[in-house]
Amino acid sequence: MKKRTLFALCFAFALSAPFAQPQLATAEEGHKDPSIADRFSSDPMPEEHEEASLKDRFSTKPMENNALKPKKEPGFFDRFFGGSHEDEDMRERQEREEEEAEQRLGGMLPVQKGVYSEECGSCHFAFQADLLPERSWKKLLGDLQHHFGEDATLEGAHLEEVTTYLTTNAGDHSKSPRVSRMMSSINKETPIKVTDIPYFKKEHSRVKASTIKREAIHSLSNCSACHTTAAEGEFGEDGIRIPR
Amino acid sequence: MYRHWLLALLLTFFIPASFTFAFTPKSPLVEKFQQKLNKQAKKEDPNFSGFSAERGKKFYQTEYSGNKKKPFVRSCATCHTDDPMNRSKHVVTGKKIDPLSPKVNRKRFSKEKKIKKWFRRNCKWTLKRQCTAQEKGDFIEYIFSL
Repeated sequence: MKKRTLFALCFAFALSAPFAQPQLATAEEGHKDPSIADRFSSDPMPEEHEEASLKDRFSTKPMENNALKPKKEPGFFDRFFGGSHEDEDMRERQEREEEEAEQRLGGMLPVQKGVYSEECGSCHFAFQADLLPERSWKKLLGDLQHHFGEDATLEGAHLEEVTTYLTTNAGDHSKSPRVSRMMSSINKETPIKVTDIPYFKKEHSRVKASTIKREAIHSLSNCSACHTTAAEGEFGEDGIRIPR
Repeated sequence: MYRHWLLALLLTFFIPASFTFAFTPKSPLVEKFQQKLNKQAKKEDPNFSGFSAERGKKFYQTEYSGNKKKPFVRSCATCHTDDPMNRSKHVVTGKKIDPLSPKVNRKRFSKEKKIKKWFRRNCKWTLKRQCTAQEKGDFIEYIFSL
C-alpha cells in the first residue's frame, strides 16, 4: 500500500473516532416522553364534567366538604322571611372560607432523593411518610415479603434506613393540618393502604371507576397521574389535572 | 491523487454510521460483572461455553406463568416492553419506567450493586425464582447487542 493511502486511512479513522462513540444524548432525546405540558395541552376540562366537578366541589356544593363543620339548620323564621337571600350570602361566604381553608391545609413532607425514593419509589409512587401513621408503616415494613402480592424484601441496612425515615416522619408526628385531618379520620384501624384511609376515600369519592381505569392513570395509588405536584407533597386542588 | 481524499471522506462518513448503532459498548464494570457470571456459569454447568445474545433475547421474551393460587403471565417484556430501548410503565402500579438499554439511558448497568439488586428482585417477580448465572449473562449480552 502506498504511503499516501495509509495516511488517508489514518486521517479517516482519526476523524471518525468521535462519531463512533454511542450517541447517548441524541438517542435519549428520541425516546423522551412528551412533556407533561404536551400531554395535557388538549383541553383537559370537558370530559364528563368530572374535572369541573372536582374543581368546583367546594364552590357549587359546599355541603360536600362541610361534614367537618357543624351545619347550620335554617331557623324557623328563615323559612318564611328572605331565607333564600341570606342563604346565598352564606353560601358565598362559605365558598370563600372553604377556598382559603383548602390553601391553608398545606401539603405532605416532600420525599428527598435517597434510599427510600430509590428502593420504594422505583416501582410505585414514593408515598410521603406522613400519609400513614407510624403503626401502619411498622406493619407494612414488617411483612415486605408479601407486599400487596409481591416480594419487596429489602436488604438489612436499607430496610433499617427506610424504617427510621418512615416512622420518624409518620403522619401522627406531623403538624400539617391536612395530615392531621387525615390521621384523625382513622379510628383504631391500622391501614396499610393510603387508599383505605377514610379522609382519602372521601376526597376521592367523586372519581369514577372508569376514570381510574384510564391508561394514563391505571390505579388510585398512582398519585402523580392526576396530582401534578404530588412528588413535592402538594395534593391541593390547584395541582389536579386528570389525564384522558 | 484526489482519490485518496475521496476515500478518506467516504470512510469518515460511512464507517461510523455502520457501527454506531449496531451494539452498545460495554463498560469495564459490565465486563467484569460478566466475567464473574462466566465463572459461576461454568460451575453451574460444565458444558457451558460463553454467553449468547440470541439466547438472551429468547429469555427476555419467554413468558412465565404463576401458580394456581396466583395465576399470571409475566416476562421481562411485560414491564420493559418488547424493545428495551422504550420507555414503559410498571404493569401493576402504572409507575413510569425509564428505558432499560444503556444506549438510551446511561444510568443503566452503571453500578454493580444495582445490577445485582434488580436481577434479584425482578427474577423473583417474573420467574418466581432466582435467575441462573447463564441467564443473567445472556440477558446482559442481549441488552448490549442492541
